[in-house]
Amino acid sequence: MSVLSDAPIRPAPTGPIPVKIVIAGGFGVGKTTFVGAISDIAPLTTEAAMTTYGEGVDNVGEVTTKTTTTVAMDFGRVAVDNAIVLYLFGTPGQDRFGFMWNDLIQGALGAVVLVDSRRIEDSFPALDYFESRAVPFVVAINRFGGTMFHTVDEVREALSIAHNVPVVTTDARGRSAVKETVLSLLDVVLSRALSRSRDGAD
Amino acid sequence: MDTPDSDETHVTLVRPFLDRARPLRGPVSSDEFEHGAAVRAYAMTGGRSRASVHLEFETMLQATSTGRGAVHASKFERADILRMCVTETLSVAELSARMGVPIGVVRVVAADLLSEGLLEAFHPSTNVADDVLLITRLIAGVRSL
Repeated sequence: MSVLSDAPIRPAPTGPIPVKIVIAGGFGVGKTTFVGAISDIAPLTTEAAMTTYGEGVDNVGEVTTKTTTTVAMDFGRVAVDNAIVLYLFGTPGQDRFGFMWNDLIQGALGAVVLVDSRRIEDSFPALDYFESRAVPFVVAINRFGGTMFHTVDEVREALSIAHNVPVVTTDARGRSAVKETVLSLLDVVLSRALSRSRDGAD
Repeated sequence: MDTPDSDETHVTLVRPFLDRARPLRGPVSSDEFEHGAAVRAYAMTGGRSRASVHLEFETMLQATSTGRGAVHASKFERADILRMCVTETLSVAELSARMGVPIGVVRVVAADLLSEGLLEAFHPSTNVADDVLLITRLIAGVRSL
């Protein structure tokens, strides 16, 4: 018995729908903790080869060298409903390799940039990356369980965050705080999609 | 599965436990792979680092009925991927993590299995950023987690 007889070759309408968001930020800012707070599974670690450009570090001087390096990244997954599976990928921690993350960002809905308010400069590369590629993102200041070293407004100003990018506080260890942070990103994604569809209707 | 390749001249270029049908490309240049481990990993794929079908990190894979029947006749990474995809629908990234091999290896081997009809893929939506219905569902789902 063949079910293929006259069926057009189209993907079945049922089955899982994978969706990806990216969690970025400096080393030790709590990316993996953030992922683990909402994930159905303990965060897993995968390795990928990424193309990077040396930027004057390690005595390469003026020469921009293109290399491929193997980086580790942590990720988790959440069954959002009976079809949608949300994957959260933490960006690799080795920020000095630059930000050739295109392979990871490809198809991502958006990004959460986690900030440690004591070391805000660690988030500069991620912010530059997402701004330059018009990837929707929110900035989330990790409170680390209560302590805020600077106000949200101070961080927004110090990082020169555009007014239309939300800056929120979060606790990477707390499921509900992480949920709210993801929702703030999804709100940005939705309003962008709605404004584009309005523009398209004109 | 794994029928002996008539083109025996290629076999000498490939270690016996590797995919016999495909020769290695030749020496791996140092700018492609910094680490010895990566060379070993890509040897599993017959030296190829490019897959025939592009699979994202989050593309999910499931064994077809043909694939389920092919588990025992398969070897090494092919068998690992098929076996795991029989009981669960898993992403490329999850397969990579569970097998302890780089994502690139899973991409190449899984693309073969797909083209042979042993796996079925569930790809992410290509226009996810404009898919208002999907985004709305996602928001409702995350809110009720």
